Amino acid sequence: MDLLVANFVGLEAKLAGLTKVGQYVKTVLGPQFTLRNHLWVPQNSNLLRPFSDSTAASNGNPRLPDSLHFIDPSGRPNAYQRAIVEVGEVLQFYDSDKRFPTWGFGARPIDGPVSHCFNLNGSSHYCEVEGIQGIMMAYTSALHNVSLAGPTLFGPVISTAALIASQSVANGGRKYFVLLIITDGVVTDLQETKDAIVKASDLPLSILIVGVGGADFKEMEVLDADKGERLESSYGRVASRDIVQFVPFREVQSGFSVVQALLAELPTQFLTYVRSRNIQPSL
Amino acid sequence: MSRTVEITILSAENLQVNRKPVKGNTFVAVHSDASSDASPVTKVDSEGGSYPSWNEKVVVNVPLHARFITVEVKCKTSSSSTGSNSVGVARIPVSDFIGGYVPENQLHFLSYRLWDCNVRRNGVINISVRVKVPERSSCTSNSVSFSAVTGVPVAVNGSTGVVTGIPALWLNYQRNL
Repeated sequence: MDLLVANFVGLEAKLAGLTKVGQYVKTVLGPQFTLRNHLWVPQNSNLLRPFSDSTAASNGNPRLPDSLHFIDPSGRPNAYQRAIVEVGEVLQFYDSDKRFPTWGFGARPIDGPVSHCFNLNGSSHYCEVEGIQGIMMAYTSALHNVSLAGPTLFGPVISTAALIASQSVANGGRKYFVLLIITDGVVTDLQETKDAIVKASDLPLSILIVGVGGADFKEMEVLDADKGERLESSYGRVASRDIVQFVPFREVQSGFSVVQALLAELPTQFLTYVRSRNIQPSL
Repeated sequence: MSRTVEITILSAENLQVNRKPVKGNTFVAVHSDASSDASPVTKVDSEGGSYPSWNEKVVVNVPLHARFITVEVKCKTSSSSTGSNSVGVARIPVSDFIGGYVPENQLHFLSYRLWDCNVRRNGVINISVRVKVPERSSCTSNSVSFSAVTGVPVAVNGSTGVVTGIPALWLNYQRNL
């Protein structure tokens, strides 16, 4: 428990989680986006007020109220917890087993070097947790067991998610994966991240990025290809489709849900993948 | 030894010559390094201008030691019926569709930056690739078969005895010499 204070070095700890959008027919294709009617809209307006733009050392000491990771004894959720619940609750609807591989990055697990992809549940063998509640528990316990550290690297987490997606393809799986990254730091390994995204664009994978806190997220917009050029890797491969959606939490205006903005492109990204491969829903 | 690779040349985007959009009459030649085969070419697209689409499948034999496949977008010259100018080239690492975690016979959708002869960026080419995986039986007729052999346990109960064996394949191999 003291580790956090003793080893506290700085700026960031992020969260990444992966969810399967179940089997095609049962979930996304099946309801044919009738879900738009009830799920793509704000669920609880109390949860949707814009996050206050804190210019103080955003990540700070999780024990102090100005930290984005502050666990409020009164139970008021911090920015990470809100992002997990708000986005996770929609995504889990499409996951058949509700078991989520969940990793942390940008932190130093006990006695270890800075890790850019570690199992959030603290296990060295498996990365899955049960349900949104499982993610929340893994997150709070991890805060006690890791010390926050920079830099902010996305490459390792994206590559790990891509590996899971490609193994599913290799096993003949009919699954589409969604990687949710919640971060308060600006990506440091921009080129490696681009390389990993370009490589993953051929896989059944979409990446949702939620930026929390007051950092300048301009760099992140580059990853979200709908604003300009297609993503290009360091050796000239180009993303075959847009798989990234980035939304800064603070830009969420009242009446417009972060979930809505984040998930807006997901149906198109999914359909582009299955249509190009002529994948039919199994009825 | 080589692999058979089916490459579907789908389309290209934003092609330029002398910083002006290409007017049309573009086609694509595909070549594998370390191969002396003639380069297959697609038909000419005359309608798409600087955003041509071909949707044409070509088959390339890629030697096992080849590391790149080169696709080159060319433009027919108006002066002669056979002449053509290079518009842009992309070198595609074979490792982008062979040797990853995804099985080789999977359909890959890949896009690449094209470079002109002055090494300037010139548009993007979109392709799909599928590696033809040979039928297991087709390669066994003339060469040594390496199919799995069911073993018989030589010792049980943790015995430490030693067994000497000669692989049957080896004998076959000798006979074939």
